[in-house]
Amino acid sequence: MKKWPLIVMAAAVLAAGLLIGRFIIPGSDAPAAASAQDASQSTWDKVKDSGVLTIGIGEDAPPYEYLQNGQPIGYDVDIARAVGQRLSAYAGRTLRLEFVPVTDEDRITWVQTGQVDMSLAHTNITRTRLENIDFSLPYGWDGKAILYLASDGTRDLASFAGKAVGFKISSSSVGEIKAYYAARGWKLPDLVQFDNYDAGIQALLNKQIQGFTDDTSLIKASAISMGYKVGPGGTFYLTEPEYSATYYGIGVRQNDSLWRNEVNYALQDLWKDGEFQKIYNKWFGPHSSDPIPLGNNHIDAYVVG
Amino acid sequence: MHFGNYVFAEPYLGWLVRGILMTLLISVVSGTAAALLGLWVTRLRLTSRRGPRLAADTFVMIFRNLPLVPLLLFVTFALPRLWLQVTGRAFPIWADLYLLLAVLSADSGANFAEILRAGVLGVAPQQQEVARTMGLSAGAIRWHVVFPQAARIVAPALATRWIQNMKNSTMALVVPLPLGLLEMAGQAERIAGETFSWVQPLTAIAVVYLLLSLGSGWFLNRWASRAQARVQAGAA
Amino acid sequence: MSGWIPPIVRTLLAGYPVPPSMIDPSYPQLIQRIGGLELTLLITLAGLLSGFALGVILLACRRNPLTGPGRDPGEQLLGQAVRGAAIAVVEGVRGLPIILLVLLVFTLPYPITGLQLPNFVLAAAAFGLYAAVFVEESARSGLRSVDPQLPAAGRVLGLTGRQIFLRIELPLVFRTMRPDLINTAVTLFKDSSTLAVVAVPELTYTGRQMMLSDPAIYGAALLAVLILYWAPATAFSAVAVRAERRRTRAEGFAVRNTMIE
Repeated sequence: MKKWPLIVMAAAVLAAGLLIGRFIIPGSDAPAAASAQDASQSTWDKVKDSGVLTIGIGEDAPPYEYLQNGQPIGYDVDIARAVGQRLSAYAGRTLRLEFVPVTDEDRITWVQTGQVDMSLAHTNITRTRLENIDFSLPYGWDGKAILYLASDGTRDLASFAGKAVGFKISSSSVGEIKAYYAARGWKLPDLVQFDNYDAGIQALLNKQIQGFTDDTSLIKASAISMGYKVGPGGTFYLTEPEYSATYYGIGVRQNDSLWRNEVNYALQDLWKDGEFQKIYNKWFGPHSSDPIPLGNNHIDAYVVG
Repeated sequence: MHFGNYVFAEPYLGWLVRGILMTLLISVVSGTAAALLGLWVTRLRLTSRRGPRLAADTFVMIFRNLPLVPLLLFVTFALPRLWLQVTGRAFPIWADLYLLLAVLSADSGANFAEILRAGVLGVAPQQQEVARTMGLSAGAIRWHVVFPQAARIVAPALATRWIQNMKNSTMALVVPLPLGLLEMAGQAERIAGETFSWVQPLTAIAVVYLLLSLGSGWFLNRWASRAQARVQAGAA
Repeated sequence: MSGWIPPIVRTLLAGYPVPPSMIDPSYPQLIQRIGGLELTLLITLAGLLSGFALGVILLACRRNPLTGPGRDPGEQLLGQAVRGAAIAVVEGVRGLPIILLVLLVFTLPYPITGLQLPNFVLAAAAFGLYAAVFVEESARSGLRSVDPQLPAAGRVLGLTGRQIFLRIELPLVFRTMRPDLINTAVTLFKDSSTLAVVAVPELTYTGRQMMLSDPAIYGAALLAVLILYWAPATAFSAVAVRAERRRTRAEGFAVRNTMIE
């Protein structure tokens, strides 16, 4: 068996594979087949017909979602349940709520493909994400800051220019922090990516990085769950002011206005009836572990007529 | 959204190119260090002094059977903490790159040593006697007679190990590093974090890895064949 | 410290308990509950078995069963294409780092097929591919060492190519492959640690969770993980060395690793 025809054949198979792959591998992680199927029917019709509402809930991010005795609880879970109840009322039938765990990495993809009808995973609304999915009105508000060791004394954001600062992969912190520092002409912090909050906080305790950044509520909750106090008298401080505002939205499929409207109506009705404020106070009110006053934040309640 | 817009568009292309450079840097530096380490450890294993020989044997025995992922996790979390407790100073995050290089060099070095030992055993002992009668010192015998022939005998295995070392550079994924120091797989992870698309950057770096390993495999093949030919000629 | 040892070891052996809300009822519960060292061993075994089967198939494809006189050009071309495909698969998987292979297997199936496969299946598939390449290479070099008189004798007796391959060559090759198979098993066992990158709850992932969640244990957990990898790997390798010594005592030294030809 001569060698050359064989090499040519193997190379041809490889090249064919690459060419075919170029066409069947889609640009995003959403399979082309799945999204084409549901394109004609609105998620709202699908949910009404099937009676099942599939909700993607994030993983292990107190106080938004975490497991207690094996059951998911948290702010996102309560809002999801309340929205589900309203949607049941609109649909005229009791919808069965199915909670599906989604990670930070695939929370966008699962909505794109229709594997979940909506996702509540402390997802910040950003323009990059809006290229792939749509969001409801914001149902949560937060800000981003840098967590650092109290032993450093009080530090402001400028002191982190050029210093090692960690962030979690798939968080929106990178774009925001770059924009903030660039606008002020400061040198960008040396960003280090971690795949979970605990690893980043450990690196901070090891003094390998000088700060760790993400939404304040998430970082605080992680530090507290590891047994550290954040704030005066604690192990960690948070920089002030926050360098970016965060708006959490419910992820829904792209260009599905009918569905997005229904979800928004549910949120608006929750606000009008005061149910939203009750849930909010349960998790972020003055008696919670991490109070975030509502202040001017609210859900716009459009008039009916 | 077509394939390639997350790979060939700026800034992603720049990140990937930087990743390729870092991969090459890590591969070459750790590979060279591993080769030198392997030579030195093999030399120690041949000595008559018990202490160094035992130490070298232990080194090889330990590092040949340690998987890299838990080893790197351990080293990059435990050593900085130890450093902090002992010296009170921070272990800078970019220095984790040196920890990575050290671990990769140790792992490949132990493997190189084991391969070389097999090669040394294959060198005919008469060679050493002849060299000694010619008046060469023990060190010169090792360096000019035994090691070159040993390397030629096991040339294919050495080449395989060199490429394996290059592929091991992806273990950097478990080491926290500044974004500028990420190698190819780390950059792909970075792109996926921003764009939520794994498919594009992963496929791109898979193609690059195939080119790198097949390409260097071809070159190393030629060297190994020529080396083996010299061994045959010598044996004839 | 000693009071921690039993819980640390127990969790590393069996993994963290999985809460019932995370269990998907559509496929076996046992596979979803298993974790830690038990999961590592299970994946190693699954990878070895599927890799062995796939490796032999790849080798058969590479031997090009459709050659020989009396075959029309269409069949010859098909045989060449099958052989080229087998070579492409083997060289492709060989050229990739194991972490990259794992990432590709875990992220590509969904965008291409829309199928969401359970993690265990993906892990077994990834390591099956990885092992298959080792098996194929080892079998191929073993085949070359088979005395060519034997298949020639088979042909004289009128056996078809397939019968010669299956009944004469393969059994001989299996015997020569034994030490390589042990090496492959040890390699699979160690490299299964890369599954920690895709959040499969095997030994390394469990150890890392332990280390991150309880700073007091800190390094001890990962140290235990390292020992739990090193001890079995060393023991198994020692068995391989002894077996190899028994086989090569008469022939002098033979370089076993000939993956670059």
